[in-house]
Amino acid sequence: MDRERLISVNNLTKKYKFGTAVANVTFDIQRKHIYGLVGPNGAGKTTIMKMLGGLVIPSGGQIHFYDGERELSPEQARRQMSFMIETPYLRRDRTARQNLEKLRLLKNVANPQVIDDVLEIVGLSDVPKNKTVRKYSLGMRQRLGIANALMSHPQCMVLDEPINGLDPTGIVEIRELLQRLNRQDGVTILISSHILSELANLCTDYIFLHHGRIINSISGEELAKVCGSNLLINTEQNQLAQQLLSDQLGIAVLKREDGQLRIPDAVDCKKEILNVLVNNGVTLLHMSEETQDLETYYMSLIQDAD
Amino acid sequence: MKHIVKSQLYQIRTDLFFMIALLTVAFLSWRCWEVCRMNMTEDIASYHLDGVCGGVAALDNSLESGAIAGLLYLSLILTIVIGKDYADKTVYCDILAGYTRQQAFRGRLLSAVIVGGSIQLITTFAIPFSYTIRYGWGNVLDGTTYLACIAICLLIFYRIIGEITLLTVVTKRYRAALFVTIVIGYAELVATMFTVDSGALEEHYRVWFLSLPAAELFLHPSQMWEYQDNADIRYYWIQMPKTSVVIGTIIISIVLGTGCLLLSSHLIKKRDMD
Repeated sequence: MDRERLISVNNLTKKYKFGTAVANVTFDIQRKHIYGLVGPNGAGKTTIMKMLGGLVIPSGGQIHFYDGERELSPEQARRQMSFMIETPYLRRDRTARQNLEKLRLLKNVANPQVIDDVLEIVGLSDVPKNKTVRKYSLGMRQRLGIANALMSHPQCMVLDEPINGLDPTGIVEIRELLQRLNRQDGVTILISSHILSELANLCTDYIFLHHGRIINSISGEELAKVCGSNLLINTEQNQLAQQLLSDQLGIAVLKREDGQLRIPDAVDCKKEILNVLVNNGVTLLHMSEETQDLETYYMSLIQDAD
Repeated sequence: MKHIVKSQLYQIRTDLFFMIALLTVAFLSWRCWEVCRMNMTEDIASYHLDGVCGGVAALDNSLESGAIAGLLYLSLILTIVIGKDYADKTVYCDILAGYTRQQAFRGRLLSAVIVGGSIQLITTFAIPFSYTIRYGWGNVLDGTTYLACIAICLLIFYRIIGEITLLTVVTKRYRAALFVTIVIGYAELVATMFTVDSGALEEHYRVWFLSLPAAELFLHPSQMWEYQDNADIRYYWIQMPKTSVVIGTIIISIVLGTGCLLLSSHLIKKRDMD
């Protein structure tokens, strides 16, 4: 995978009257990667995307866009990108074709045929031509938003909840489309979604946000290593066990909501852990390997952050 | 910005609400013209019999409702073109497509002025033009002064454009801006009619927000006439407003129009779009 930087975000901050939406966020977007922006509602995902798109003016920090070694102005960069933030910005009293034709003229896409092409790709080509967007379902509007994003053959796509409202078939279709764009055309993607299993199927990298801050950035490979290697234990004295394991083995032990202890990346240390507990008279009630997925990893991160 | 204008012109063309409103305004303007035309028939009959009425006399009648029609067209077009995209967030597409906020704003303003100006020119000059073709320019009225008045009036409309634009940007609601503009515009005209002597209109031209009375002053300047030798022959001419009023109007129009447009642009540049 290429390690060519496309976007560099440094100490990005957005403050509103009611509080800080994004605080000192720093990350890089590498070309041809698919980044998942993960976080609960109000974590700052949409605000970050809006700042990338120029819709929201940052209170602090910088965003740099690159094309190889050359730094681009935000406007130059946005011409090579496409966005779908929140709901697609469409005129509801117009048809899909009228909306796309206006956007085609705006983006200076020469070939009018592109409208039929993108509608075909997102599965809207059979919709009656005189049907206004107002009569579209949420899923159809999402598809139309993706059609708009595809029209200018972007190098990078920023998609905020693109599968929101799609039926299961639609979710699979859009996932496959994004994967195809990434693999065949090298399109870089930054995507947010609440459906973490979908992100797990799609992303090569993850950025976890909580209360406007990045709590972890991890590649898909690293995540795969972390997930599934946790040890879950329960003793009669969990607090003492946590202290002993931390002091004597130097391993981080996390306490779950149900009181059990989670020891990341410790499947190979079962013997040492048992020895420490037995030698200190701590009775072990339960020990198992935890198969962790993105969702449980995310939940554990959020718990730790809180 | 060329592409913003192209996309805006396409959008205007396919806007059903705009088209219905435009046809309504055009119908009202046509009715105004019809009323004026009836007056014109009488006017022509009373003009100097040796003179040729032609295009300039038609222009005189056409401009009688020019200020009102101009306000209607401009308020309709500016509020819809500038305001609607901000209301339904479709202006975000421009920013996301790589244009600056000012480009998006200026593109819309330019599109509105192109469309509004074209419609206004057509409705104002189509009939005088046809009269000129048929009867020539005519000599019963002083055409040069008329054209000078129209040139000054363009500056007044520049001020009106600035004021409507600012109103639209500040309210962020195009229907509210359209309603407020029309209400204020007409209220000012009515207030002028009831409170200001026509002779003293020149003294009040600056005080109105949308300056329609000032536009009226220049679009329909005082016509003077006098008998010569005997009671059958009357000579007509147009009295240009006082020089101080002309200069004042030019300065105020440029300063206020530019100020309002710059302020609107500044507000759009600094405002978050969320």
